[in-house]
Amino acid sequence: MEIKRGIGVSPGVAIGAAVVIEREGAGIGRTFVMPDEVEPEMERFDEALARSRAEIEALSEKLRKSLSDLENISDIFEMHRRILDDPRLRSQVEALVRNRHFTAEYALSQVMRRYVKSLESAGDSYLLQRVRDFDDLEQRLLRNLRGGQKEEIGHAGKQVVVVAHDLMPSQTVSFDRDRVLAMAIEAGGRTSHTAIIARALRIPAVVGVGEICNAISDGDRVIVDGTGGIVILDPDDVTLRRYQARARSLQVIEEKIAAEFCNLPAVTRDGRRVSVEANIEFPQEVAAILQYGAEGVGLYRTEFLFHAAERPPGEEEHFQAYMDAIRALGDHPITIRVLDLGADKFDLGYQERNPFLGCRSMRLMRARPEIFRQQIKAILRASAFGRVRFMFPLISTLPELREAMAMVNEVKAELDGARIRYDKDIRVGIMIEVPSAAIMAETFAREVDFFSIGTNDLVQYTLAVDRDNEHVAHLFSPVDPAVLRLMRMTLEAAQKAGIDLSICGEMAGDILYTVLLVGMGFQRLSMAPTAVADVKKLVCSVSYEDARRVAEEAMQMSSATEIEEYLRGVTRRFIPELVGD
Amino acid sequence: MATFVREVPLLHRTGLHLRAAGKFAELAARYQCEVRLGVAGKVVNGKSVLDILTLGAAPGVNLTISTDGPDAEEAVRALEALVRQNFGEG
Repeated sequence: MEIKRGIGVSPGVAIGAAVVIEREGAGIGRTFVMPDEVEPEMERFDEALARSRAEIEALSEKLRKSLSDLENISDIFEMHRRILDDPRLRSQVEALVRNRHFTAEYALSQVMRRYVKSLESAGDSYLLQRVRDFDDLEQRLLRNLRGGQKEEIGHAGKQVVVVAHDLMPSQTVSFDRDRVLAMAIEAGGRTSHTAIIARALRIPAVVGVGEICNAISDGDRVIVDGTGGIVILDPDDVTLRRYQARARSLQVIEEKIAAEFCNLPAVTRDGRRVSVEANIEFPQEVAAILQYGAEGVGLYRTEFLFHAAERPPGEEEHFQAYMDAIRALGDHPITIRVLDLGADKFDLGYQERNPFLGCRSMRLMRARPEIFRQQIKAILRASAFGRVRFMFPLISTLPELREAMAMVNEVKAELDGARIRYDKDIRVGIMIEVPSAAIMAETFAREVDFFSIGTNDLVQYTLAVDRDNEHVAHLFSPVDPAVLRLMRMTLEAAQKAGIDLSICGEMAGDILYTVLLVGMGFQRLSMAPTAVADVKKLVCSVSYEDARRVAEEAMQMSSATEIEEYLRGVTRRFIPELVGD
Repeated sequence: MATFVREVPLLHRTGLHLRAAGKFAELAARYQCEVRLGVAGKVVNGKSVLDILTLGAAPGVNLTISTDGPDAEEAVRALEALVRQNFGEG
């Protein structure tokens, strides 16, 4: 038995037989054919082209049906199709096979490498992102050249756990969600493509596991605990039975809790109301979050509008997306976050050495004011039709906030001039996710209508830890005493100024922290929709009095590990069935 | 038979990216003539989406479209119009 720790990116427990997906490109040597083998070699290449083309057709057709909510993923295939159809691809491979007697594999990898190099040297961020698509397509062609059948994992008829170093975008989306039980991936982080798709498909997944592919063979038994971020290879009988029971009970418990709590308000036993909202990325998710029992959208991440298109979304695209969400929400509130993107999404004409401390998020407003203006205008227009509020991410200084507010006022004046309706009392808030903002919260509180604490970034910036970096990820904890103190400062500032406060980071949806957050005084939490029922149950199980004592106790402790351990014990007391060992 | 050359400013918001490059190559492939596309001295086969992408053509640059062959005049006109109409994306 071997236990590997990684980053749990999609919750749940699954046990099954592994299918190891190897990279095809590894070790393509300089291999040659005899002069009289040139014709058959090209026939082989043509067959691989045809098979790849057919696969892509079939995949994009299938996805159109099964993943209409992620329809923009079909762009990946659009790229592949166009490249496969490019006469220059074939003619260059042919030249190398004919004139230099390279094998088709070697010729293909040479041609692709040349293209990737020139894309990289073009220095355009968009093209750099497409390099991955080239790699993806090369893998597919190589597999077909070798007559490989690995693509078929989703159709093997048997449920499997996918194990891979990394997955290509086209692979992840092609998995059949009934066949793939879970994913365990060596590379990647929480925001990797695999992570996003796994969550969308609700398949348990752990990424950043480190080396496992070599330690495992097809058919080996694997346990993937996406909640705990653990992968267990070849489990012993005791562990296996424990996880089998856990997988079964998790499902039953989840269903029971969902049935019992999703439609109840979250109120502590002594009557303190906590509002539980959900985070979304697509307007299409709204129907589902209401079913899960969310009372509104606490965080609408609008970046997907941006990722989905080749160019920045215009005012109308923003507006339509917001209207879709608002219509589906009815009377429920929605908090829209202004685009929170890295500079890599824009061609600013230079490379950043340290993007997380660079020109990201609101700091891009100076470089690209139009993008922000159009979004703000769309949000304001949408506010005439629903309970809309909006917030700026990554504000770190007061002048930044004032600059952003100036733009809001300009846009309002513009709308007034054009007699376009919007909510004149619309609430504008900021994310508290940089330590400077938490420290200065009292000052900020005088100028905004609400705060929302983004715990993921707050932890990263406070502790100087990238949690996707496996070598330092152990330092990342939302309950590090330093983080908790910053959160308390923010809370006190909000209370003093009488403004609204919520938490929309992942911490809000982790039941380990629910009692602590309620006890600290938070009354508005926004989380992944699947966490809503569990959090509600926990809120309903405690009294505010008890939770306060827990928070006080935790605030006395001096390390994240100590606090985590303590909270695990506390949470187990209230809902033992949901807390693992 | 003659060679036709047109210089057109690229106004598309993101430059010659996948969709725009794909549309260009697709249209070019409908003609028998040779189609070349150039930016700042670099010239590639205008029927190849792969080659067009390697131009890394950013918004604001001038594209040089040149065609040579039986239907060259018709082709250059159609391709120029495609670029001027922002690849049909407004």
